Amino acid sequence: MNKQWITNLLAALAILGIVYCIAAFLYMQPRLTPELPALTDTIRNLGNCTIPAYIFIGIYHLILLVSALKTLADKEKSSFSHSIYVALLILSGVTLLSDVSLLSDIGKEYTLWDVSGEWLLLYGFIALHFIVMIYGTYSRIKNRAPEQKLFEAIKNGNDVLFVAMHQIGFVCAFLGLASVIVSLISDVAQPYRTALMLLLSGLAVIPLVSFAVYWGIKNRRKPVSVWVDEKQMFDSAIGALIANAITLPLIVLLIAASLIEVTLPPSFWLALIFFINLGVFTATIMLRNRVNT
Amino acid sequence: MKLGNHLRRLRFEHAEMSQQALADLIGVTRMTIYSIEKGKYIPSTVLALRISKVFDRSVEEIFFLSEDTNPQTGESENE
Repeated sequence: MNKQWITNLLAALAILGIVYCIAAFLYMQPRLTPELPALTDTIRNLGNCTIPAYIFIGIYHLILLVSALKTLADKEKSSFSHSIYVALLILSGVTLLSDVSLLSDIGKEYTLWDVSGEWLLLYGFIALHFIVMIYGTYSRIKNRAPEQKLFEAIKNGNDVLFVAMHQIGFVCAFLGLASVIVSLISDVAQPYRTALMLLLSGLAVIPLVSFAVYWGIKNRRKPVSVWVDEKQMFDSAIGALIANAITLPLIVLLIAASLIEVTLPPSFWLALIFFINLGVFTATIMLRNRVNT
Repeated sequence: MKLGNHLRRLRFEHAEMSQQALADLIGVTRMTIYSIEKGKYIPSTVLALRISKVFDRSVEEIFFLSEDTNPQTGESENE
């Protein structure tokens, strides 16, 4: 049994696991209503079997992440679409924990009130896991990751990783803006709307934060002055200048709007400004690091 | 007025040195070398001196001010 064989076996188990989870949840959802006073044996057994399925899905996410990061550090194979995949893969990995929390909430609360909101979020996350795993498997087979060890790949691909980090940041900014807009237009009551926005925005920035922490850990033994070279520093300065030049007038506009009649909760302001700023900053750096071959 | 350079030619004259090899020698990324060669980025004095040391030339022999052309050859250097 070689390493590749074990990885393929885990991939098969994880994909079977996610298909099983979808089927089990589709069976459970219409039955878990306040009319059902206690869980039936079938539902309990189906629920228990989701635990090993989630373990396989979690392990496979880690395998995909290592493979994706190796490819990200490779100059020939790295691309914007791959950065989008890495951002979604990290998001999918983090939301596996949210699935556990949502399932626990559904189990405890279905007898008390309607839990359709929790089911909706759960299906959204499951769809994300499914898409990421299918794309990841296809990408892993088609575009085999470099054989070198992960830390070696990261060490050798400094400039590629710098661009990749900003590509991931751009995807996060887009996801964050989408989160704010979805929360604003949703017909949820105000306190819950803010909570929904904070939850979705928090999830949206996790890929960037994870990647930045990873970047920091890998550079921890070096002085901060050599983390980026002078052009990267210059690009960051230009990016920050343009981002602030665009967002400062926007802040003035928002203040003016709030003085008239439009009322937007401060948390929405902050998120909106933050994601626009992040989007402009990362887009500037991406544009300044295009290679015209 | 732009800053032209002979970096690409000098790299090839030095055993066809790659952008990555030059970048490693002077402690920057390959993208920085690429951007300098393309005239998209003007290096700092320290970086220009480091490059001149690698090729054992003066800074003026590597970099020159131009109106998009090389004053020595009359040809565009931003390849």
